[in-house]
Amino acid sequence: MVVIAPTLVHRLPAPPRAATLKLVSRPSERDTRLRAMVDRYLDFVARVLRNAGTPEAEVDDDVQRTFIAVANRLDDVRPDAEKSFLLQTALRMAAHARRTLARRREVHDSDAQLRIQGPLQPEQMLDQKRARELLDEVLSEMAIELRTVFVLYELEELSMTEIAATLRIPQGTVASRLRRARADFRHRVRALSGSTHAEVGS
Amino acid sequence: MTEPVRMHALPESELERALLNAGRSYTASDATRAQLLASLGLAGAGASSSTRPGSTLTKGALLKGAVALIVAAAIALPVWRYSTHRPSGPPLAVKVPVVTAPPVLQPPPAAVAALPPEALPLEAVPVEALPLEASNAAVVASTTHAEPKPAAAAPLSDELAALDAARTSLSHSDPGAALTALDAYTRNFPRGRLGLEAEVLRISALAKSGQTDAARKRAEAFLRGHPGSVLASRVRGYAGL
Repeated sequence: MVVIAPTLVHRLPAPPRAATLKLVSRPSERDTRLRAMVDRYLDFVARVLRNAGTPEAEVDDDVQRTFIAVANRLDDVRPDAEKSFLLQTALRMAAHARRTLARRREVHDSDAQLRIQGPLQPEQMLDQKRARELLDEVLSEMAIELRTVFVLYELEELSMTEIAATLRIPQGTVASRLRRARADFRHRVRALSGSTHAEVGS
Repeated sequence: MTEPVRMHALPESELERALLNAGRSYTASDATRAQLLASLGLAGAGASSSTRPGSTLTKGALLKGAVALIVAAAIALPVWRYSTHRPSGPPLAVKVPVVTAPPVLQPPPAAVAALPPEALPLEAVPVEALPLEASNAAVVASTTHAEPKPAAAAPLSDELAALDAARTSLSHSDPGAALTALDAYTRNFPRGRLGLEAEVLRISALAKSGQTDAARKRAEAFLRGHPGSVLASRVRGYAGL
């Protein structure tokens, strides 16, 4: 069960439209289409949310919010624009989650209490969770505009053209942000590992 | 415009590869999928696809498991190396590690049904998704992992199928059968994780069967308990509020 904050609803992306054509689905077609979207894009949406900054504990709810937002406007979304609409919605959900998390940290700074120093025990290293935590740490320190382009290009393998269309920015800006994002990411990973390798080639 | 080679194809270090793999391999859980389908009103419709493709214990599942193990190993090694050869200098702030169980291959629903309840893993469930009557007890069970109860361990696919039966009856203009199916759901899953979705279906069935007063009362109770729920507009519509 999820709740969409009224303020957030207004920030959801306008659905891509096919001129003035409005696609009206019958209930069974609608269910079939929604289910196909879930089958096809659930992992994609969950991954974008997580990598764009939605805390692990809130991914489930934001996945639901994202798909419900699409379901509510399904008749306005062209079939070939489903992924794009889901992506834009997920990015806005993640932005909202990041802001909420930042506010929470201002009040409680719970992270400071949850952090320790020093190496981990072997059994604690043998799972993906540790790598995920380190990735979260690196991504959370990147500027959001760099992080978004980095996630979409490096983790989701979207093309620069797709990223430009999704974020509604010029392709040159995407290329510039990607170059900076890759350098920033590598710099931060090197800082983690103590590496002195050369800068990222662009 | 020429696109640069993705970093995971030419990682600068094993740690970088591990972090990129962690970001690329994130997937939604089956519980996430089940709750999403229920919240979209799709419940178990098309039961054959209510679980992930390849979730049966077939070659696909085995291959998936093998790949998962390889990925886990590929990630674990550089992370371990990083952690054991941490550079000197200001120590990195590290979150408190949580010791987790090793990854477990999910058996198919049929196999799960055949297992004794105590052999089934407990799944983390959002508090909001728990039924109204048993939310506190269910939260304790899901967070402490103490003595799993049979009802809490029932596969989500079974719950989805039960709700789908009610939903199918409703779509065939048979609210009486839907109410019977929902009664069965409540009996079989007293602490079901899709209790709220079941309640919304019940309100709809009551309204369609002409029991408008009962539908209205349940709808008002639902809205009092969950005023901001995404299901609220559906509830209002069903009860004519």
